Amino acid sequence: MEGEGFEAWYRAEHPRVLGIVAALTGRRDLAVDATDEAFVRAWARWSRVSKMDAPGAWTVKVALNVVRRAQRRATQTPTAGAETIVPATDPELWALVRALPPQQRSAVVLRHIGGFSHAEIATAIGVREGTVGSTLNAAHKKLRDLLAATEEEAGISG
Amino acid sequence: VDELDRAGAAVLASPVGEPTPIDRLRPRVRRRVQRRRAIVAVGVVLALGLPTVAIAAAARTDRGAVDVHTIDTARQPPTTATTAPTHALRTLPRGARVDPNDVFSMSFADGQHGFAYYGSLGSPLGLAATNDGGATWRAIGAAPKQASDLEFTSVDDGWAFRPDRLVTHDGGRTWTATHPGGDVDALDVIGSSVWSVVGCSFRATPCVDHLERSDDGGRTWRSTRLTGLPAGAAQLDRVDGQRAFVWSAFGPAGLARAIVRTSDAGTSWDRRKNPCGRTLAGLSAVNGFDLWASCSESGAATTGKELFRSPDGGRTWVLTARVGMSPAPDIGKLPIKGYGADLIAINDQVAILTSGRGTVSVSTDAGRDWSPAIDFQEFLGSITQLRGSDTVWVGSARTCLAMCGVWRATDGVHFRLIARGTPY
Repeated sequence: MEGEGFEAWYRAEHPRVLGIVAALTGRRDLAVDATDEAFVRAWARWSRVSKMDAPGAWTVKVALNVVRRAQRRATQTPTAGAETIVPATDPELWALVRALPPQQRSAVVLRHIGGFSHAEIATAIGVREGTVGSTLNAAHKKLRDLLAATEEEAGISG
Repeated sequence: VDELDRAGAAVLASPVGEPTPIDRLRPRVRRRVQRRRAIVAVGVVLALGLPTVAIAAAARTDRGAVDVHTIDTARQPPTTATTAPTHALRTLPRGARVDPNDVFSMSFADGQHGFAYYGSLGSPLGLAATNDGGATWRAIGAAPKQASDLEFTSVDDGWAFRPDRLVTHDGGRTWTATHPGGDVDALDVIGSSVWSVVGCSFRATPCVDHLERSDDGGRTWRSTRLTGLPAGAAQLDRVDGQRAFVWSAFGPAGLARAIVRTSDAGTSWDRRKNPCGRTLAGLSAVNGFDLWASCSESGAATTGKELFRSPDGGRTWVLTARVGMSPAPDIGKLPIKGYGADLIAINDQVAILTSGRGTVSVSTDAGRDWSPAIDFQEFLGSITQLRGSDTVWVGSARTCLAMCGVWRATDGVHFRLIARGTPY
């Protein structure tokens, strides 16, 4: 039967994909819908997706494309049900991550929430593998600067 | 890097939500496979130069007449009924009837006259209006750009906002931009007094929202800082000309999920206690002191929730109902289905809670017991209350599996389907 092995993979991979998309969008409803749609597409072509080197990264890529399309279509986010979220732990750190440029932010979330390899990150965000390392380095440096500025400011105001 | 690894692991350790049950994904997969096969069929036959046959083949495939039971045939035998009745979304000419399942962001100037977007929730195709209390809706023109919400105070005067802010004085025919100082998060109008919370970007440090206020219907504006409030997704609930609450569902640590209150028309703001250990999902003020607040855990299908009441404008809170917060015992009867979304307090006894992906529930005993008023089964639609009245409208906004359309309760409790929509 087509779809063999999908359910087990879906259950294993879902938290990671949803966590990444939620962290990048900051919107639970949007993240849930986009993640569902990405897994629907993965299931619909499971015979091909299951043979990919990084089906999880492909699914994240699809989900992020769904998000981008939804955001392009919408003049703004839906009202009811549009619940904005940030991770419950380390919200200050994630607020800084959200302040990074889009490509750096995606790379950081995929690396540190998703645990993706450079190759998987390259698949998910559509850049060359060699670019991922430099993007992550730039993101880490920017975060260090932002953290230092935040701590300095806290010291001044405290 | 180590800190990010640790923080990332912590994020995964507390999932955002449960996986959608696989049985709910299955019909969508089947439709997708059908659609792909239809496209392939059209492509193949067109390549053979047989357009008529191609269209017929596509039509058959799209109706499910072609065998597409490639996924789990044992549990879901192929059937032509897998394609739900549906209708296409398109921009309508002025005066054309709008399907009640397509309206969202409703706003009523009085009990009869209301306005709404039509289209797919969050993606308006145009503006619609009703003059019979929501029973029928007709297209009246284009939707204002860059504005997801509406607030009308008369049949002529209204606002469209989030993230931009526009005003109309001719019933939505034309809109004028009012150039806010940032993205508008919330707007609340009482007569000619307009307040809007204007957010800032995370890139600004420190990031402080502003209240932009106009006392002359939007001709001139004054801006004051909303100190003590974390940036992002702020919501505004005005009690009267002097008193209002602004609250935010998230923000940096220490300022997370804050509530601030003014009793001097926005000149000064006091920080109030946030009762929620988790997301502050909804806040509604009956008056300047009597507050209702709903809290929700992360999750989508079923989530723990709490309902708090404050008798003193948010200084102290009393836990009134709780569900699914194990090991803490449940209190009263709160719906566990869905996650907390909007909360509308009608008076000190009656309130309405809409759960995203859940139901519309009503309490008539001050928030302890809640019973479903409408079960859309997959609700993410919109709810609106006519200011100063007990009349509330709920629109399914194409996020229903059943009972689709516009519902109204004139007493805040008993909802009636006044405009049946076509299921999506």
